[in-house]
Amino acid sequence: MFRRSHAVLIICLLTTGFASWGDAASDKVLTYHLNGPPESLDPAKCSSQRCRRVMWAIYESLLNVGKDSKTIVPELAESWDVSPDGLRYTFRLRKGVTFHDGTPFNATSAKLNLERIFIKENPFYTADPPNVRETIMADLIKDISVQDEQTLTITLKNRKVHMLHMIPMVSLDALRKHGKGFGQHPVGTGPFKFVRSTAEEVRLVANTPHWGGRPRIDGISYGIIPDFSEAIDQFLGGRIDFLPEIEPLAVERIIANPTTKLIRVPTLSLFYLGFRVDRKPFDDIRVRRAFTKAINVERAVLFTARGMAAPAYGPIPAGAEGYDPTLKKSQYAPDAARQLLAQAGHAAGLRVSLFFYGGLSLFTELTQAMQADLAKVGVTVELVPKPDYRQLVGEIRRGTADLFVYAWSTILPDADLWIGRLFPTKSVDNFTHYSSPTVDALLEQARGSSDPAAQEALYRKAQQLIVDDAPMVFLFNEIRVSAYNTRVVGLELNNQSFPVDRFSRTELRAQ
Amino acid sequence: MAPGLSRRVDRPMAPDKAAEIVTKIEMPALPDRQTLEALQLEIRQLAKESGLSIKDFRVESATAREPGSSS
Repeated sequence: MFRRSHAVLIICLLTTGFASWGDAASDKVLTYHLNGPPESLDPAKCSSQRCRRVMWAIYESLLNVGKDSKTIVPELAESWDVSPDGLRYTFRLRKGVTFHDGTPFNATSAKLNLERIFIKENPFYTADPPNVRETIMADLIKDISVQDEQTLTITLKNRKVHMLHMIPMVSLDALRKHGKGFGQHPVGTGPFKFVRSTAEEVRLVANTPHWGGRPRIDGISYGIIPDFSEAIDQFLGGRIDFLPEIEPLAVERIIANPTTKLIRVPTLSLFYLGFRVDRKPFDDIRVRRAFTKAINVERAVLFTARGMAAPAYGPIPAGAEGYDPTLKKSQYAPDAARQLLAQAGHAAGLRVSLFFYGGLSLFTELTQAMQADLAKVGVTVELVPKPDYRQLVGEIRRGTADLFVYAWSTILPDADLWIGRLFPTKSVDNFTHYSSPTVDALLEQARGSSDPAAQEALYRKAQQLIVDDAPMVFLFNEIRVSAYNTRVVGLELNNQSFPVDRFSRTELRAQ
Repeated sequence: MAPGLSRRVDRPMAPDKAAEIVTKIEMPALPDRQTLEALQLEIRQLAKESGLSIKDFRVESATAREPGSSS
């Protein structure tokens, strides 16, 4: 077997420097690309796809959503009854489930796990850093009561029970034992157990007493490689089995490689150029509108994404609830942009810095295209690439980035998870610091409405106001392409390219 | 040039050719297949309507370099 030969392994170690990761290439360990280290493996502290990718194999939730992102499927809750008004759920929990540390999963642990996300009096509550789940759960859950060890009743404030899939169950014993360090010692009920985390790798091993049966692979090795070009080279060399996302410019090379395959997944995402609307020069709506008109988004996206992205015209992507196709019109008008900048007092020019993730050449190319477009209207852009996503998020959260390329994606097509998270004044994910009392009120109204048509109308009205206020330039909706080695069998991905079976049924074929 | 920019970047691909290639990639029969197909069709249509070719995509910085070159 050539790909596993000692000669190849030695060459890999010499040329890549991933010495501690090299031993991952065993017949039954799946190697998986991560573009940066997970910031924490505690579900209450994770707010990126990097940590969610690892946590996905370690933890499970009461219920999950199917690969269509809409169907609710049982997980740690085996079945449930719903009250006629759709607000009271009685869950029957799976029997005999234990956490990786041997402690039992039961109704009490489920209640405490849910409450720790949003109830400050819960002994395991943590609000540092703030995360989107806290407000979602506070908006969703009215009451949780334990009926007996295997029965849990949850009373909801609205009918969005599928949101419960966002809260994985963790061992309370491990939380007590490790306290704030739990994120480095994660313990769940999932098909894989945490082994170790280093700068180069996160390693998991099969959870042999898993209630669903022993996983068909021995473990998962997440190789941390911030540079996508490097990851593609390792993938094509057979040292990575699964790339959840790829660089557009690698499509042709992967297609040409006989041992690798590509698969498209219907990701719901929005990539945007965000302005700090509370700071100069972007506190002036004329400057923001000028940027919107100066950048030829369609042209830049068509070229740089190589068919793997559709230009975006509004905050909600096609395929998600609340998507408004009437917003679909190009705003490109460089002459109007020049006039707006002159009216805002920048006739002599303007200098700005643009922060973005530099590990993906798509962003390098895209920001260079924007830089060139903006130069034509007198705006000088200094490009500030950040080598990993964590650094970029840090800059944005700390407020050092006034202009930045960032993304938002969710597994669920719920309109509130888009427009209700990126734009409300008090949202922790409102990185542009956009604030509109009218938009806040419309979104609040939509959230409280049970009439789908009324909701749709409110979302459309809010979207139009947001587009007019231009807190961001809508760039594109990703058409994600994942890639895998042909030795991987049975891979089924959801719309975030997470395996629907949490890798429990995935196999690795001998080659 | 900033460190993150001094890296290998292939030449951009004409949008219509790119869309053609990506359309051929394996796609599971998910319920959202329809949305994905519609988006892909939209990209091809946009590319066709705009009549863009490689020469139209020339940014003044060093985006379009030959593979293997560095800045």
